[in-house]
Amino acid sequence: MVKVRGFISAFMSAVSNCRLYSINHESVVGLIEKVFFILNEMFHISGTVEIMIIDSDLVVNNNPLKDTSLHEKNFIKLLKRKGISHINFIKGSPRSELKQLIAYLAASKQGIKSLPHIKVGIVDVYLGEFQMERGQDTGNSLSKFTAEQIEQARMEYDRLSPFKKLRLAGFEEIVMHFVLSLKKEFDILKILEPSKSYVGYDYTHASNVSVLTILQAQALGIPEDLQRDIGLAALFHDVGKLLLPRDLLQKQNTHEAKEREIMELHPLYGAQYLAKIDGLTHLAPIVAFEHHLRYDGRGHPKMRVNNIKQHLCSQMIAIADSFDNLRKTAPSKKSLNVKEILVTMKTSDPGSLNPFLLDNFIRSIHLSLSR
Amino acid sequence: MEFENELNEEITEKRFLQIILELMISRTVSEDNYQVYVNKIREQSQQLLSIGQYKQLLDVLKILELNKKQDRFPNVNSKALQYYHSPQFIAQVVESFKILGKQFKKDVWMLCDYYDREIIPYLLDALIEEESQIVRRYLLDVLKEFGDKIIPEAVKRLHDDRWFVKRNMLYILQDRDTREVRESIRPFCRDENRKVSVTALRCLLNNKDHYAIEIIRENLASDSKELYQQALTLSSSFKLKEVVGDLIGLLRKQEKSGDDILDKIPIVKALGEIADPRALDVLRELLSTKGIFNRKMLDQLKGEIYKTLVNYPYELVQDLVEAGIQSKNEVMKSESFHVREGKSE
Repeated sequence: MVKVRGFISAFMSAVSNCRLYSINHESVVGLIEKVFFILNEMFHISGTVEIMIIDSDLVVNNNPLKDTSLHEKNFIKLLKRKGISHINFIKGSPRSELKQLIAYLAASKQGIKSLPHIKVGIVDVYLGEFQMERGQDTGNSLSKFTAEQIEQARMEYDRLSPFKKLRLAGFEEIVMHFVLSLKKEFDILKILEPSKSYVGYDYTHASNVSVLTILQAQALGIPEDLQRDIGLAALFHDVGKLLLPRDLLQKQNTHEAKEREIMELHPLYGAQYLAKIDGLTHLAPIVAFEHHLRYDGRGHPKMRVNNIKQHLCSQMIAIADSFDNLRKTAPSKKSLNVKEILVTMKTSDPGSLNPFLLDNFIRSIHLSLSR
Repeated sequence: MEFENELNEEITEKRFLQIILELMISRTVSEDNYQVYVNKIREQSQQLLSIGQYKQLLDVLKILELNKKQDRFPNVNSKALQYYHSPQFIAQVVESFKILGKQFKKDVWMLCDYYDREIIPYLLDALIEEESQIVRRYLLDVLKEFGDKIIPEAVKRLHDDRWFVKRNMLYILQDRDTREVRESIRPFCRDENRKVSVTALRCLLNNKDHYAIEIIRENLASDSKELYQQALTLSSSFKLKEVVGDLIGLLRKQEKSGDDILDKIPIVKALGEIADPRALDVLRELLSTKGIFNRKMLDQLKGEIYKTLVNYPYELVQDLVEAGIQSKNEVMKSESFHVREGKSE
């Protein structure tokens, strides 16, 4: 099993380096050589090396791999994402075929074919635990469907507590409905819940931001599995507010300086909470931490270790957040129509949002409304 | 697609780690949470090594050190640092350097600088065990960056039984000119393995060490053809003026056969490289030698002498050059023209 672990570790390192650099990069070439070497050593023991995924376990030549390392977990995740149930390496697998397989696994595209010495078994791609037939009609009108989902979101949020284990499956299911529903031709405004903000934790806002972010991701052609992660991260972007004093959240008047300071801690609290949760996409704590940073690098919280620019996912969520916030009908404000909101977003605070993503968002909204 | 790159798993994981580090220095973090984050980054560290993110790893270590210094969660920090300083982890760092280090030279050095002397034995072990010449050369480069800090460990390993280990240590030490290093290397000038002895001599001759020069003189007089040739080559490569007298003595030795005449050619060449004017007298003597039986070989020797004249000050060999131009020996003639042309240029 030491060789198997070494093989998977080198294989995943090659995939990672290929994603970061290119298939012909010196580091990838070196790692492919290492993979090739270990694989040939494994062939001394057995003529074939068969790797299978059964549930969430790795089985190599009929032996289950126990106590999986990070590389092994990532390997399982990667194969599942690609819809691969097993890979069979046959003695004589040349470097060129290994290179092809690694390049394919590093790319985001689907659709691998078996190679002469590397046989790949494909299953239908599952998007998380939730599964929906591609052609299946949701039956009800979308507004009803989302109302149910928003209610589900409310229930899930009510369960949310820093002292309880997060029930991730419920949230994943909500996001999967968002992803699949948005693929149909729906008016985006019908999906979004009317905002009734300024009361407690705003789960409708969270759901709206999730839907609006998935809309952007779909327009950008981002793969579905990633849409799910992005949607989930969006759903949790404000979760840190749960850890703030309730009276501060419910306050109708403007916050004083000291109160504002406390309010501005919610990205940090949110990230602290989400970073601990096993199995949750790492985009969630990233977005929770960064969603009040600005595209031009200003905003809060201040970075102390590295001065990094907002992650692309946080940039998309910031746009959705801004749109939904402008839709809110605060008692002191006149409500804006969609056109006014989009004009405001485009003109009022240059530098706060990524202009390219903002254009993509505006295009997507227009497209959705024109259907 | 451009977005795919920004959303790829590696970029996300890198950012996740950056966020974790931000959380670890925030004032609001509890000890329980801190422990969870430390565990997460420990798992991520393997991934960092597999993609050559040494700068990120260094950030992790710096945050742990900073928090330790500030006495925040001392137990958690101590245990975490213990892991990052464990032999297993440092060996993994070096293993990663072997594959990816060349692409991230600056970051590798920053991490080495952090580990300082602690990582040297692991780098030396890797160097010794490595089969690829390219990787060995790279590891040598990394090790040389440590400067004099490398000396104690390299000197210790000079006494390894394996000849290639000794030779590698000599390579590392050759740029370190301290009394301690010179004294440690000297015994290896007489090592029974010629590859070791010649490397030891080279190391010392780089710094004109008198002991090595004495060995060269000794070897020039040796009956061992191998030692003699080695000494001659080194005299030439290092342009050792100190052995000119010995070489002149060798040239003056009465030749017994034609082969003895040809044996003088490498000596003439070595003297030509050193280009010490003291050699000119004996060269003139050889040029004036007349032989009946070995004429062809003498002509060859004289031709070789003329090939070296270009290295001597022109004013000291002008008479030889002018005589050479009149010579019937084609090599002497063409070399003389060559020297004169070089002078006029």
